[in-house]
Amino acid sequence: MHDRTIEERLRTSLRSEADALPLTITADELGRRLLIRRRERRDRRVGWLAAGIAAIAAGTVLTLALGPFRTVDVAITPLPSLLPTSAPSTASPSPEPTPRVIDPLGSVREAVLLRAIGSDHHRPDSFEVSVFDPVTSASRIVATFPGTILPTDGWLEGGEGRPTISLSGYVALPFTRGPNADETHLSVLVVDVRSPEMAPLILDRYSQPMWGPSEHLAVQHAGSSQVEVYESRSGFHQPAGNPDPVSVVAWSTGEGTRFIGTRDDAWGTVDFEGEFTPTSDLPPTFARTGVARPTGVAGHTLGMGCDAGPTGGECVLVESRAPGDHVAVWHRDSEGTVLGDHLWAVDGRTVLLLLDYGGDQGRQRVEFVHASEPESRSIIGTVDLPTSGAILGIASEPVPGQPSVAAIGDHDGRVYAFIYDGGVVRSVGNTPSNLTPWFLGWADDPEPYDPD
Amino acid sequence: MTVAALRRREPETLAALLDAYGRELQGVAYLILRDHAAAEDIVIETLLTAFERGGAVREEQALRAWLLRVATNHALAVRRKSARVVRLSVVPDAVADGDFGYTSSTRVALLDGIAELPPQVRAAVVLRYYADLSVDEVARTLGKSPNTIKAQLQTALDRLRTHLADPIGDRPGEARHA
Repeated sequence: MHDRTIEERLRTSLRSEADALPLTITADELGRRLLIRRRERRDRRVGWLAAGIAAIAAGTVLTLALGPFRTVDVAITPLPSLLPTSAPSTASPSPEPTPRVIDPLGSVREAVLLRAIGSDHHRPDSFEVSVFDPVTSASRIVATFPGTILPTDGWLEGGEGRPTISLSGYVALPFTRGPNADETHLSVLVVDVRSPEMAPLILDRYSQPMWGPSEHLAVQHAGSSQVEVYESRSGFHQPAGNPDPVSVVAWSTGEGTRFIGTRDDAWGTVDFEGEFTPTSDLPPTFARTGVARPTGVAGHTLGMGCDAGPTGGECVLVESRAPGDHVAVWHRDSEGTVLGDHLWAVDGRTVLLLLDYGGDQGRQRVEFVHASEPESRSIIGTVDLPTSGAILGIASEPVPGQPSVAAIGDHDGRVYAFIYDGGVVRSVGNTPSNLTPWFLGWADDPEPYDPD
Repeated sequence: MTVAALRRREPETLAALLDAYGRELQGVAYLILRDHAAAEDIVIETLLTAFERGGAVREEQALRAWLLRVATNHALAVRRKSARVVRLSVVPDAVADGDFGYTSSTRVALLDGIAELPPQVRAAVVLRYYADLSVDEVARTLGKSPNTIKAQLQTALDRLRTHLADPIGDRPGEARHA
């Protein structure tokens, strides 16, 4: 059955099912519930008052004894003044490189994993960051964080989104926060693998962390589509202007643009002032693995661009001669195929693609493909996942005659690695431990190369 | 319903919110939870939340999306808390091989298939095909990227197609509740 047919039947079925229900709520009932809610809140406040006075007193004593608080909450715009370093560069929001020397955690074929340790996965005893080499199955721990990096009113629900790591080792971990399970919001904490003893930076009421160029982190406000940018080391807030109600999709590497995003289903760019410009001529986007090898011959770049397709935003992989000067479309997300990752091949003229064909009967098929021309496809290997829902990335180009990591994916907290060996891709299964790790990213980007 | 009225917290705002959005919010919550009473509770909670905090919404057109987001998050939270409750499957009438004609049994099979989807995927399906949000809006509502939502919707369609073809049969790799 075609998607369009089943979509129509879905619409009809859902509407007939839901619209048949009577709506028995009345405005009077709402008014009553509002009064009850306010009364409960007032009673709670009275109860908190005494406890609050005691807590303030205790906090004052602790501050005097230990110095500044170790955890910094960042609301909308205030800078985390308790963090070290100089004044914020609010006047010049251009993405200056951080002072930190980019020193990757490992090699390009190694995966960085985050494990929650302890019986309670909502509030783990600790977190462990390790570097895992799928070819040798060797694993080494690079940092351990206490579970208390999560604020006392924070926990991991499981649906907050993926944690992710910057090239130099900052981990952004989304979590859930709130006084109880009914009043929650999303937040993001940022920790430094190089300095695990440092206080985490907590970005309250933000979600969807995205690492951008120069180690900058973009996060989206949980209650709107407002996006803010933070410099990873200092926590400096760089205003992203006011792109609300623009939905930011990705960092952009195009000149004069910071993000690509959508507004009212129209795609466009967001500049450093937060100004949205609708355009169908989108610049390439930044992603940790997608720009791992930034240029092919003659400086051509590959990048994802998106347009308003029939399903409300179709993304394509474009080759550009210069920003905005597109010369070829190498892939179009359509017919159920989603591009998992992409990479220039060593020759700088051909492209490696990871094509995700989605789930079918409880399995998921992913093809590792070499494209010598935009329309051509030569399958290197097929990755057959036991369950659907994995997210995969190309590690590096297969090297004939020796095993190398072709791709990596995860599902249900298990990380799978796929090894290219003699023309086929074989799975090496899970990481050595059956604890539940997250795949944070690669330990390094491939070396730059000169295809000429 | 105007955002300005919400900001002023005029008494009649609650009734206007209920009138304008109550039925749709109930539909979304019900289709995620399959529980009418719980869905009504979610409508009440969502509208009260809107009355108290909805003044922060800047634009008229953003209000509906914001309400759907609040209702969906409430429903998913309720779903998480009741995850240990095993749902009884609706066993549809037998569908003849290759017969994809749209019958009531097909509808039951489809709804049963939706109920078997993971809650987040189910929410995406409900927002896309019941609330008619665009992929982009669904992504914003659920805090995911548009590509993730597209992949989830495609996975859902694939599973539902399989479910229609074999509504009561066992499928490899999937556990079925009694």
